Amino acid sequence: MSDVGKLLTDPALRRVRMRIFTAVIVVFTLVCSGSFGMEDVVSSSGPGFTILMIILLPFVWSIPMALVSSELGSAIPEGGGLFRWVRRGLGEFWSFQTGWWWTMSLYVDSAVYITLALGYIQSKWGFNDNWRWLLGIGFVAFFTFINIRGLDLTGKALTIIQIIVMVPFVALVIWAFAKGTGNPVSPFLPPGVSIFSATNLGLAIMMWMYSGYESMSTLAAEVDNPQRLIPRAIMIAVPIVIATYALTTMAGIMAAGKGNWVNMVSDASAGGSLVDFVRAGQIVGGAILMWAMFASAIASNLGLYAGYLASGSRPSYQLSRDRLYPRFMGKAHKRWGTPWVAILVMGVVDAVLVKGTFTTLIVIDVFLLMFSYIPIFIAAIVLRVREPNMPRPFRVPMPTWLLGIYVCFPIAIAIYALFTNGSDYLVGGLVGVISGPIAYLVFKRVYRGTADSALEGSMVTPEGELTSFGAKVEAQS
Amino acid sequence: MSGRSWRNLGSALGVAGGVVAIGLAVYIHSRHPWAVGGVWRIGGVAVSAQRLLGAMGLLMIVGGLVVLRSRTVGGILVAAAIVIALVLIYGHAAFRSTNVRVWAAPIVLGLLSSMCAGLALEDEIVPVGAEPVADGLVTPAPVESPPRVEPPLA
Repeated sequence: MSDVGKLLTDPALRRVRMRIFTAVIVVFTLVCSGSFGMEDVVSSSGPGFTILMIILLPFVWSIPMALVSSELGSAIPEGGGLFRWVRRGLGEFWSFQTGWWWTMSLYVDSAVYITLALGYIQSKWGFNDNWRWLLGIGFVAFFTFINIRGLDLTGKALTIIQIIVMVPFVALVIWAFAKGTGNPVSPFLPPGVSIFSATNLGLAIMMWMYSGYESMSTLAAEVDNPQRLIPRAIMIAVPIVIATYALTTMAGIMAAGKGNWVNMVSDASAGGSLVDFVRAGQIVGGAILMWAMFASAIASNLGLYAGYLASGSRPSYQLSRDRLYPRFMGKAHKRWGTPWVAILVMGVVDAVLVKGTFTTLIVIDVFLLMFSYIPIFIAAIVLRVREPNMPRPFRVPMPTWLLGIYVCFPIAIAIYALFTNGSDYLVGGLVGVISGPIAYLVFKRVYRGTADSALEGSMVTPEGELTSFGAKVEAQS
Repeated sequence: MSGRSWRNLGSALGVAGGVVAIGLAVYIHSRHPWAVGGVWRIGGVAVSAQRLLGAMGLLMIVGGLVVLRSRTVGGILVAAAIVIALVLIYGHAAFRSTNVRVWAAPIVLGLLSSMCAGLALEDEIVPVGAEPVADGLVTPAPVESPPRVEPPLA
């Protein structure tokens, strides 16, 4: 067989048997991983309105994405996940754009989490920037190795990390509900702030907190029975995430004390009357809970990094295997069956980014992620119309017209947020968006792409029949 | 839409974006020179915001026309004009909101133009694993004409 033929027909990734518990942990990590960051919403939008947004926003923002991801993930359980869904629905160009925007966003995003973890450590022990960078490289190297070693080890690492994250939060909830003096729902809004302003202030952070349900789909080629495992994990994670945010935020407000919600910030290292979750732990639980919450904050960010390193590197691998990206990115580890070059490249980029503050890149980051969501929703509707009989082990219990209306809500929210974050986000984000068409024009010219009928790891032919690979996967399940 | 249609649309949008940018530059220069602000320094040369708008418009027109010949080069030229404009707008925080409004139409048209160039390329390059197709733009495999049968003599 020729090299090209082998590349197109020989999936090199190893599938691991992942339990549903571990899969839920992975989804939970990618979406939530604790409530750090919610403090800023409380002080800007008010306690009552924050709790209301935590409960209501998922119905118009994250649940549509969770449902669509579950349906598409069950119908097209292929490596690269969202990238392949959009390819099937909207073609190669839009799938490349989605994969590119999403991946670029995660390159920056993952580095942010390491930086936040380092910020917590540096604020406590105050070492210089060179040591900070070295420690950052150490974290990146550690999690890069774990990811290259395989999804089974990554899953175990994320489980341990989430125990470190959530046990202190559970303790905080119990202590704060018993001893806290703050009112978790009053006042509803900050004095003098309208609902419109409160929404604008809180929406951007809240959208961020509820993003990520599509992320695990990129790992579909490396877990057994992905068409059932991933949708089930997402559906189980949805209520857990809402409950986690609601209970821990209420606990934080109560622990902060009566009327002290105005001083809630995500980083209270400056001291004074500022309150973050770590300080909230100290107020109600003393030094023990403070240190536990401190460890939780660091673990939360490291967990997010490990999770996003796993999911963020896979589209690059799949783009390469589909001949839309440099060939070296499509190499899989012979022994561990993981896309080691794609993971390593992401790790190296993160190690460099950790050195700086990269404020400008964060501005681009938000815009790119929102832009990558829109084609996913559109592809779901297009596939419902064009391929109504495609096997969908999980189907959103809505007729197509209703699903079409339902996904308009998150699309509208994404577009609204793009224009209300400020002109710096708009301009910086557009630079990121235009990088997508430029990259496609170059890579398509150089690598040519792959025909739909010859896609590696494709479960279903363009005519809707199972491929031999698809039949093998179906037989396993 | 076929690759050829996307290509033509991309070209038209690129040229339109360029024309709008130059039109805006001329209008603002003559009527409202205060509407856009900031002096851009490119390679040590100071360029007024209106002149940069005009220059990027010219680049977009050239890019739009080149799309007809080469989707890759034309699309990148149009996109490059937008990137330069956006980077310079981002760098001048004091005038950012005003400049965003002035540049909005050329940027949107240019973005759509480069996307159309990409969609044209999707259809016009034969991907790995596919049979070449004769869609008018991809050169079909030569077809041998049937052997000529000479009429019998007498």
